[in-house]
Amino acid sequence: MEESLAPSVIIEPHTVDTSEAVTELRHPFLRSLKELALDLLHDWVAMIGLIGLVVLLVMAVTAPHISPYDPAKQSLRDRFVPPSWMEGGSPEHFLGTDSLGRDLFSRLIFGARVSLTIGFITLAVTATFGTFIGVISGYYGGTLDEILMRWVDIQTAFPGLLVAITIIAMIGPSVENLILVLAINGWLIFARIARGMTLSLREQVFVRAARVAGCRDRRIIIVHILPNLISPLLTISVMELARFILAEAALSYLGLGIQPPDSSWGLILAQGRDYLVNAWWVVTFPGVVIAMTVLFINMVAGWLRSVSDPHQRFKLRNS
Amino acid sequence: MSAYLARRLFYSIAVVVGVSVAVFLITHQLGDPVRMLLPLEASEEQYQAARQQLGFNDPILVQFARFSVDAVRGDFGDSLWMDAPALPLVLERLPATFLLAGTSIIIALVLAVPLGIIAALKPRSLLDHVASLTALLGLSIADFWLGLMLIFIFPVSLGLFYTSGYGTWEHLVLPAVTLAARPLGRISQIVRSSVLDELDKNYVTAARARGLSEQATLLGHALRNAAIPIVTLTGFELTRLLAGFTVVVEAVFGWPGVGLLAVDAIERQDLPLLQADVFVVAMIVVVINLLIDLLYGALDPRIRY
Amino acid sequence: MRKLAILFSVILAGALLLTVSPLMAQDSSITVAIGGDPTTLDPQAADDGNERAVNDNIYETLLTRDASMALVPLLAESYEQLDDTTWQFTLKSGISFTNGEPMNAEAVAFSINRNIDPEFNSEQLSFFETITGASVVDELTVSLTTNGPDPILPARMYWLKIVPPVAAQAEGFAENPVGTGPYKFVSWARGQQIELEANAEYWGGAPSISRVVIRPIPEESTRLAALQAGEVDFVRDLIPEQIDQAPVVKHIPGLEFPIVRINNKDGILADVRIRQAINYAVDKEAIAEALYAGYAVVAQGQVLNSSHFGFNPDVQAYPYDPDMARQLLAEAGYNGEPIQFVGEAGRWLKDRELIEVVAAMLTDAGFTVDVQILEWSNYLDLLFAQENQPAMIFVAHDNTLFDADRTFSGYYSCEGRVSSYCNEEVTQLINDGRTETDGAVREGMYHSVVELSREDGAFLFLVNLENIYGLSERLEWEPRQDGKILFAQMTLK
Repeated sequence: MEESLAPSVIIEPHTVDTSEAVTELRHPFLRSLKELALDLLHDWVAMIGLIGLVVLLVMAVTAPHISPYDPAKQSLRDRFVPPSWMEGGSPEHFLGTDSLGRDLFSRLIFGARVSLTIGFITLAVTATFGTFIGVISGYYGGTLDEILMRWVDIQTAFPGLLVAITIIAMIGPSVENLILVLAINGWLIFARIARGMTLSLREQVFVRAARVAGCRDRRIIIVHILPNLISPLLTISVMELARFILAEAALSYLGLGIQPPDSSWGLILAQGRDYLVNAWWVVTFPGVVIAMTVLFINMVAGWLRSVSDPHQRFKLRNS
Repeated sequence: MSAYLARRLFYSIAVVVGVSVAVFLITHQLGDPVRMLLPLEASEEQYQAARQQLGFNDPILVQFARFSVDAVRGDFGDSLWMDAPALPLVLERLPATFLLAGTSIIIALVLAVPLGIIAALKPRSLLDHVASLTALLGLSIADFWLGLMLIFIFPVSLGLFYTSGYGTWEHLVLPAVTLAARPLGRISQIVRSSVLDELDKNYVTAARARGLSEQATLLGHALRNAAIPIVTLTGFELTRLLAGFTVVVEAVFGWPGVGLLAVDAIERQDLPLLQADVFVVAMIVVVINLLIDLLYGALDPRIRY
Repeated sequence: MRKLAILFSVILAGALLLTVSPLMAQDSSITVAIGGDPTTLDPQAADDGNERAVNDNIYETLLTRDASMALVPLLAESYEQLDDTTWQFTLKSGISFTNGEPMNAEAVAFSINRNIDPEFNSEQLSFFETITGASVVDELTVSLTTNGPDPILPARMYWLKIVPPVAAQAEGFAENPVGTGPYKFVSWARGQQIELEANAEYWGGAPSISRVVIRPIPEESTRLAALQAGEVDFVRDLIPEQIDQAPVVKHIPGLEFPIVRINNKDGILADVRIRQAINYAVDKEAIAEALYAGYAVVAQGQVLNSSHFGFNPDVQAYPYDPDMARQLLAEAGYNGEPIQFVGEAGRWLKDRELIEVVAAMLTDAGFTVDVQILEWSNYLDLLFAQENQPAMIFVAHDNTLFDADRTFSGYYSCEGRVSSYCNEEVTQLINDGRTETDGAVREGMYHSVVELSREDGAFLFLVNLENIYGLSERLEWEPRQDGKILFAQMTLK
């Protein structure tokens, strides 16, 4: 058992110069911007992702200027107009109209504002908080770990919908409160992943050595633990972003989130649910933009992952 | 080890009690369950009589004491809304939930692990891009959309499997596949990134240099070291499925699981039913997370608690 | 050769038997999809459409309604009103429950007293609040007393199911229904299915379909798919847009009225001109024709349709006239003060969309509307609030007693539990009508209520929805206006 594991304890994964296991490592994110840009140029996948994201963000920011119609403008006589390239479609409505005759393309452009805001802010809050709790829990262990993780258990077992209903009943529905509700339920997975990996990392030779060498805990966590968590946490972040965007819809639909006439991608999707049979486009296009956002984010995350890992980076630059 | 388990048991009881108390307090902050029970046209007298009858006019401490005493005996009372003992209502739906969640996680794991490994072995190859794209679509797709699409493709157009219902394996296929999409996407992504990380560490290079075959290297070291995030995420996904995140799939496929029951209990503020559900879910969470922690120890013997 | 022929014919006959017999058994058996699992199968405990879909076929009532919704005796042979507060029902003889208990005066009196017992705490109590008790006169005669003159007592008897006293007091009655009706309960696997079989000894003659399986399928699209795939023969509550996909569709004007309740007691909407402007501003035709795809009709200035006693045929809907709305707003001096409009989502057909449509139409006519879609429990708090009532709140009402009193008492009266409309004259008429025993006088009062409240803009009157059912090709059935699904009225082609 010990024998087979031996290689994994010899070398610290993130030390560039492997002969100095305990030497300080310059944080990957602190490299010069020029180098990062160079990386990006070498990585066409990341470029596509970044461009895609920028397009989405620009779309969200400039929505009132680029949207062909007022997204709330209804026309009951023009319900379910198919996308323009389909039979019965109209060039006036590129992606068709929804059940109230509203222009789907305009609604998606405006919906990007709500969905992206909620998705990214919730992600930032949950990833930071969850990782913090997880690392503390895993690093210090013992009773602190037990208490923090049982807190996570309590929250996991507690019905999220009940939390949402209670909180919104007390403070009212709004975008900020929606983010709060999503964040309350969203940090758990970050904590569990960070804690699980920290449990293992803190027993690795390089961490023990650092401790023996007198490094303070905070330094060990920042220099030796966190860099090793970046890759899995980035992966989790991408998937949680998708989950937050979809979860927002469920809450908003029930009246726990954004209010009409505002809308979001998820809410458009949820409201089209009953019409999948006769108007597939109302449900499908919001699904497509959500998937595309996740895809772009993942492409960028792949690049972030590789620049945070010197070995992968090296391979990339020379491939 | 047994000391650890004993300690863990103590904390687990604390978790279950903590959840129950929290649910009790929170639901009492909310609106009025009696209102949700009665038809909109019910009179004020009827409403007051029902409140009295159900004990909602007692002080909250009295209600809490009554609840605690009964709950310790395993009696959560009768569901306000279904007029039947609450715990059996939850327990009789557990097999369907376990079957669905278990099958989905197995489908997800069986596909996600090879998919993730293949993608990690040849990063940035066409294969990797296709695998990642599939995974990302899986995790960002709305489950009702996938479910309804499968229904219209298989039973309606091709006459395969069933649109809804419970009983045979043919009833299970579509809901399980629908429910597997998200964990499949999520697990395969974490497998890919974790294995990739491990492969890039020098020790694997070192192992390669020592002449082990590539496969043995992979399985022996990389996967084992990559296992912690994979196990964590898989456990978390399973917990979520068992805790009622199956609700949309239950509604779409008419599957008799606990998810719909729990949502109804919340929306109707059916406290006894909600308590019974949360009690069962808390037990599941506690057991799964204990198993995960024990698995950590087996995967990495250096981990001590 | 002959031997061979005999052998051959035996084999053939056997094969025929094998193939035919399961087919025959299957032929008189149908599967029905409803929207959810019943909460209970006690016919007197819940106010639950899924429970009724099952128990309407197992249990019977003293009176029923024929296809034209006229009240006719069912378990009763006849009934008469002895004085203002006493009614006497004579029962049909020779009927028994499927467990052997006799359906007699004792059973009927027990059923009535059980349903109104405060200890029993029935959700149906609001149907029977006037009843003070029932007693046995003789084996087949029951007398019933009310707390005052109650002209609609017979209509109430259509909702009170008669239960067998012994079985109803036994443990587990809520999971083992026993009635006098055309179907017998076989089994219930919660969340999965309920099985009924024909009651061969049914006093009205055994029904044509021998076995019915009832399955809960919450998702409308899946119900349709199950029908298309041939898994079920009957589904209720199809979405209007989906009906061209169903093999056979039946629809009928139903009882459900989505309305917007207007608070005339305080705030901006205390001005009748603004309430009228709201009614002029909304295009009811477009809502019925487009949003409900033609499966709704415009409500005629009242929350009643022609099947309700008290419906006023001379009153008509407000025409769609946004200019008139603007003019009224100008006269009233409205300056864009925001008007609260509360709603919910997911409880009634297209509720969220209807709220968005109404809000947009009001906005177009110059109103400033503050839409608040609330989660159900918060919504109910506002719906039932007696202080600080919302200016406008969306609600759907269905009057299954077929008498305007139920609608008026709840929504039109100053004292109504879900009312935010107060007009002393209207309330007086409602209170007088409740105890008026002369039908013509009572009807006149109700016509006045409708007229006054319509002019008063008591509500934003919208539409009356139709009930839409999907059937398989082999099933024959005609829908009923009261929304009851009676399997005994179904046949297979």
